[in-house]
Amino acid sequence: MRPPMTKSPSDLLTCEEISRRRLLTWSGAFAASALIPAVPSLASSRDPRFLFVILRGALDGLSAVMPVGDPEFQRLRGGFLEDIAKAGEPLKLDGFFSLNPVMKSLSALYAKKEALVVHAAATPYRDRSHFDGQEILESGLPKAIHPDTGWLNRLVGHIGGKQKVEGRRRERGISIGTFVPLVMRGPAPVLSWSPQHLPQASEDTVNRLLALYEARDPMLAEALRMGMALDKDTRAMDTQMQGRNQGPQAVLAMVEGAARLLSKPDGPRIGALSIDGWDTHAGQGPGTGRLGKLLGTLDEVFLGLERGLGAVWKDTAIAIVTEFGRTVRINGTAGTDHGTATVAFLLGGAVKGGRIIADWPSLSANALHEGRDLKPTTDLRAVLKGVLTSHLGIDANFAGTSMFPESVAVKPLAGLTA
Amino acid sequence: MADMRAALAFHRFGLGARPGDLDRLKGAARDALLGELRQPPSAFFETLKPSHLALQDLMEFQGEKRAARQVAKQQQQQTPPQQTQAPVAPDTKAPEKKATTAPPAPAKPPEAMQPAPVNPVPAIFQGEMQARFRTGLRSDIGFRDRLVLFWSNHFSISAINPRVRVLAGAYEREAIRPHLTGRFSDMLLAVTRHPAMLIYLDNAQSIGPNSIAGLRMKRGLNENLAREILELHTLGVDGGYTQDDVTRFAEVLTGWSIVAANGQGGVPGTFLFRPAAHEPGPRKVLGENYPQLDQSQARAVLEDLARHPSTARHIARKLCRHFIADDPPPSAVERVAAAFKASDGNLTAVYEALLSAPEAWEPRLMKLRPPYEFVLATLRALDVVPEPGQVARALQLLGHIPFQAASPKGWPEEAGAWAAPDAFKTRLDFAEQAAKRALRSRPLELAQGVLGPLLSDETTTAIKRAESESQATTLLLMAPEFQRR
Repeated sequence: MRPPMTKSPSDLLTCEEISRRRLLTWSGAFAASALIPAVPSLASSRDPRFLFVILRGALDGLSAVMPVGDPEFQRLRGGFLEDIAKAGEPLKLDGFFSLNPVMKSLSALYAKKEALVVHAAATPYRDRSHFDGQEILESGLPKAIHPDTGWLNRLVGHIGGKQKVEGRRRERGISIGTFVPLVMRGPAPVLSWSPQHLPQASEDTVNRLLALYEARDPMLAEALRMGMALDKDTRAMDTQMQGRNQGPQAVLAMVEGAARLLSKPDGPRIGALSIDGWDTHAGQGPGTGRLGKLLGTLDEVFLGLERGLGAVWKDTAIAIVTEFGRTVRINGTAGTDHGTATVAFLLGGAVKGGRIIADWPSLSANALHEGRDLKPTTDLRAVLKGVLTSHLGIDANFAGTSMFPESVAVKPLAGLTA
Repeated sequence: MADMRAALAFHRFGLGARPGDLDRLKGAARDALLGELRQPPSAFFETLKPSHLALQDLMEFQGEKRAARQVAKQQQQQTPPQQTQAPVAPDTKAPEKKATTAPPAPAKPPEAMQPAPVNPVPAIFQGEMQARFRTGLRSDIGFRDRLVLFWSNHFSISAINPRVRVLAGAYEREAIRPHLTGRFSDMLLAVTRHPAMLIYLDNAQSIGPNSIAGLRMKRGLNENLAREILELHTLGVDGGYTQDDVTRFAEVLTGWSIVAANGQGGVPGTFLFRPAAHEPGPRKVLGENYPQLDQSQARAVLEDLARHPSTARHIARKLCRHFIADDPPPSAVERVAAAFKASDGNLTAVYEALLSAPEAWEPRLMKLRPPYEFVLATLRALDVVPEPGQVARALQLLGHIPFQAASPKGWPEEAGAWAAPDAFKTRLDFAEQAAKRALRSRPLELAQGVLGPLLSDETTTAIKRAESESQATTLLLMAPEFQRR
């Protein structure tokens, strides 16, 4: 435990705030390891991985998983069906739902029972601002109060931010991409990684800089230390990432990196990443247009995760969510506007897939939310709690009070993972 | 030794001091900052194209591509497969190919071989970004540039769509810069009317359902621009508007569009109000009735939004958040909001209030420099002119490419977003490369010169003990007092 910071007369940094935060980090970790009983799945031979993928911009669930069995679907979304047909035949999931034709890998995973679809799901948020919607998705709070921590960071802190692997303490959580998303921000230190390729700074310089930070700026010291640790792991990977820094290639490079890092025996276990671009207000093109291409990339992401995780795929659960859905009707510019309920996916060898969880509210006019959106019938928190309690052994009490505050009444869905 | 206020003027409110700057600053820091706002526009912008010409270039290119596709299609239909004209000994090893693959050398060349049309977007965008960056390198203090960065991020557009990309630089020069010291409502109007924003947030194609065009075609309303104006540009998400206000405002904004390539209605690529697309009739937004029949309806709404008390608070908070701290001191926010209200949104008065707040001159450095500012500050401190592409590459790796924020909310402000361990390590790698390329200078003198009283004892020691000049310079660039502002 480090001694608290002492302020020097010419001190120019927010030492008070930073040292308080630092103490929180340390005390958090000690408290966690002291109070939490051996988490069953972590103590056993199984070594579960969890990845949280945020699709930012509000994915149109009705274009990804189409309720073809709903009598209103044809009428409401007729304008899109031609473009979808250009992409191929919808991939039947059951008698009611079909997948968008571009999602062939997802269809294959579904057939192998390693993908589960949830439809007509939403967080408790009922407005339509991306930023508040994403905040609620990531903060785990029922209201948007602009906090600076997220529920996944709380979870990481709860199960022990650092894990002992072969005597070395390594961070358990990792954020993939240049920014740390809110869901991963908080007192528990987490790693971060994104594909990069600059010549590495010399080790001696790094050590001197680290010493300087440790004397004056603990937050930057932490960031640099973790950056160095990550460097060692990923130096080999980076040379393969050359030139892959645009559009879908960048997304796939990011995902490949995530998979490899999570599959390492001494690597992190809980990751988060985001994919942008889902806000299809105009020219949606769900088959061969903008959304079609995005869904195609997402499908490649799914395949990339399965391949990249390799031997640990069987112990992995991945949750893919978005902040809310889109209007059931097509708008004036061949797109859709912000809506409410939408789709969520669970993938992984640990997931008990091959089914759709949807208490389908129907698309008939009087069943819509505010006359325009798919009505939510499943709380997304129930899905996430369900995965995390069974897959990571989180106790329901923690899940309902700390991880997702004020959500005790939201019961975790049972039987989502093995 | 230069005083603290001079140091903070460059460091917190500007783009960072260059060697000798701190000693050169004569007179009060606050006056120097405000004075910079009255300087003439940067010479680097003189050769750049106005937005409508840039958009015309893109329209022309797209037209040429279409024409080239047509020609290619016609040729395919007219010229029969060449196998019958130029007999070729059948290759028994090669697999059977269909007749539609490229025939062997044709007997005559195709009609009028046109050179492929050249996409103007990359050159225009790069030219704009270079001018913008060079302007920052050359600015006296950089307060004007910082304000432009602030407002450009506030009214963020994303250059992923080529039509927005070709306009991005011009948008900033035409809608933001000229209104920096004027009324907020003037900037708001200029931004909302600009083709870049109308394209980015889909308003150019938004049609009132009951308008002439709406009744004829089956196209209609798009709420995107209306929502983002209310949520991001003016009132803020808690500012007191409803979904109904969003829809009504979207109806009011219908018809705000752009002259197409055919030049119908005006000069191609300029703003055009299309009465046939405008949703007719009076509309109520935020409790006020707007009976106007033409584009003055939306102008009136924008004026009122600019005056709304929530807007003053929203802007004040964002300004204080950008300059002072991620969690801005409420007293500073109050002061700035009051000045906004009292002056009816006069931005000079707003900046004066910000610069009068004692909290703004606290020596403690609370904010983390985002990558764009860090790169500029580095090159200013080292007095280095970067190689073309070097800056773009660095910004790409650091994840801060201009006009490439993922959403209309723009780039994040909080340190937590930028201080990801990996991104931070990348800063160090960049700093080391920059330090190696810089001309030989005495690192300790340099540190004292650009930081003045902000330089800490620990950093001084680290510089003195460095094993080489370039290592010492790297340590300076990565020192907490250089990373923060």
